[in-house]
Amino acid sequence: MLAGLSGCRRDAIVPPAGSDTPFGTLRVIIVPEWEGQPLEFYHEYRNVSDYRTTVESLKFYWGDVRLVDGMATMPVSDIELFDFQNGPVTKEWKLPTGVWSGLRTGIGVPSALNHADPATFPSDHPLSVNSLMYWTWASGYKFVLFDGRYDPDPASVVPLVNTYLLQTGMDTCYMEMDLLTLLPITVVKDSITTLRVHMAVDKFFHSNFGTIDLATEHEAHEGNVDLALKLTHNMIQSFSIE
Amino acid sequence: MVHIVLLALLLAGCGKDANADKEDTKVLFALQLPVGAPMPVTPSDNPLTDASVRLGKALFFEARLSRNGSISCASCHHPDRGFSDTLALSLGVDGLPGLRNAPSLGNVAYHPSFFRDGGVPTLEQQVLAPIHDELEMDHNINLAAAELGDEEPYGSLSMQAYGKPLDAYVITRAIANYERTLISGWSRSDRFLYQGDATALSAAEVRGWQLFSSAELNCAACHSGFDLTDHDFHNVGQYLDYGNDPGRERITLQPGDLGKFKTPTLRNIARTGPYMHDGAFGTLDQVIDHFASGGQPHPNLSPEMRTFVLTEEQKADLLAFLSALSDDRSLDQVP
Repeated sequence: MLAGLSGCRRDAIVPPAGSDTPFGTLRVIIVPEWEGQPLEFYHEYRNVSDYRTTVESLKFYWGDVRLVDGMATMPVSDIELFDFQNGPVTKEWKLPTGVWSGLRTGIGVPSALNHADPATFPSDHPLSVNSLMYWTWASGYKFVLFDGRYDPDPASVVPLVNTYLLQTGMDTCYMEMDLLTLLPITVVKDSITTLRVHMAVDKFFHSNFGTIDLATEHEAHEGNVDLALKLTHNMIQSFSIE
Repeated sequence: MVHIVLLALLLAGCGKDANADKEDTKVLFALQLPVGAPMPVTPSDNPLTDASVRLGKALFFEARLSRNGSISCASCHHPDRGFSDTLALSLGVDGLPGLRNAPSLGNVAYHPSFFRDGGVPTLEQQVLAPIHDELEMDHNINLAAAELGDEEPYGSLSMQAYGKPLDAYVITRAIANYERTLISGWSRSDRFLYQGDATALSAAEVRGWQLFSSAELNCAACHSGFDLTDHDFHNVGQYLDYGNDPGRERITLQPGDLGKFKTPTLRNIARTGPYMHDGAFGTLDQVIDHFASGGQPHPNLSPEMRTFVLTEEQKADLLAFLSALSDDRSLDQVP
């Protein structure tokens, strides 16, 4: 039920299914929350530093998504874009039937795709320019876009004006995680298997890896790799599967 | 003397039939290359066809590639200024200045990377940046394609060039191909250096060339080859503190690359001011003074930088040579 940092990829890939292989549907719903309640964009929260905080944009990629069971894996998707502007996001994939112990994914865009030309993708593809996640100046994608406003003074009542722009990218920030479940993930023929993933956005600011102090760490869209890595580590620890 | 390499190859047959449009895609652009110029390399998925170059030119001058229809590529890359800007920092759709000085587009066909920090590896991908940059055209290339796609000449040229309606793929490839044809190499210096015309330069310009090539000034350590650039990145000590523009470090994240910028071509240099990555120097005179000073003692200062002293006459000679790097004809080969 927890998300954990996975090691290097040494898992064996299950061969592609044949034409007579039965298929089922895997559905993943990611639910953004703040302290257990549905996240509301532009709503004023208090973050771990007791700063007045809003969230105004939240998007990220999952790359190289696959089901895992020991050394075996089943490819699920090369790349998926999650944009939470309208609340929880649902993705579905048609997969061969099987039983798996967890879901493994990268947060970000794998290196092999990260430097692709976005103009070569159809406009509805996650990597097209329409995603607005491409850093045109660096030929790479934003892995995570997490923007909002804050005020370090918890007693202040004035409108929030300070912005934070926590946007990770660059190959060094790509990180894999395992979403492990207590019960196996079973893809059943002609059925839908649903994984409801809770994402505690309040924990983006703090984990045992470190705390993001927005007063001094409010911009990670160019070069601030330490902050980008801290956000990614915190995000990984914010996921849990129902 | 002008040596012309004609690349026009009509690969299609002569018959006019249902495949005529398809065959048009195979007519290569008649690129003219000066003596001494290497053959540009084009990507396998974007051959330099006549239709693609004509489409690229139309798009290059199309202001509707910007959000409010106020600026085109040519607004910051003026054909009569070596395809550079007269402003230190070009102004975007809302009159806001960009981050860096707009460079000349002459001979970009030979560049291994783009932008002053080299962050983009292909001309095709470079096209996206100004269209989407909020300080430049601030548009979405797909929206622009939707607006322009049904109009002529875009609709028909797009089909001729790429066999598909105008979209992000077509726009980026077509503009890249037009830019590939902006060849510079028809200056008096070229006639002197590559075509054996000993009379092409004046005595002062020859003395300037000798100074330029001397170990004392060391200009040619970085401004070398046909395009007078090594295409590498150097910190020339313009500042001790580079402020909000770390240069090459922005891409590599390596502290040793702080303040390094790509060596610009010196072709048409007399027409492409202001100079330096931020347009800080308005005249070549100021540029020479900076290099003569050896630059600020930045930790990443290039070891090729050195101090030197020029007499007024020597400085005038050097300026004369630099002016002789200006093309005698337009870079634009598209009628």
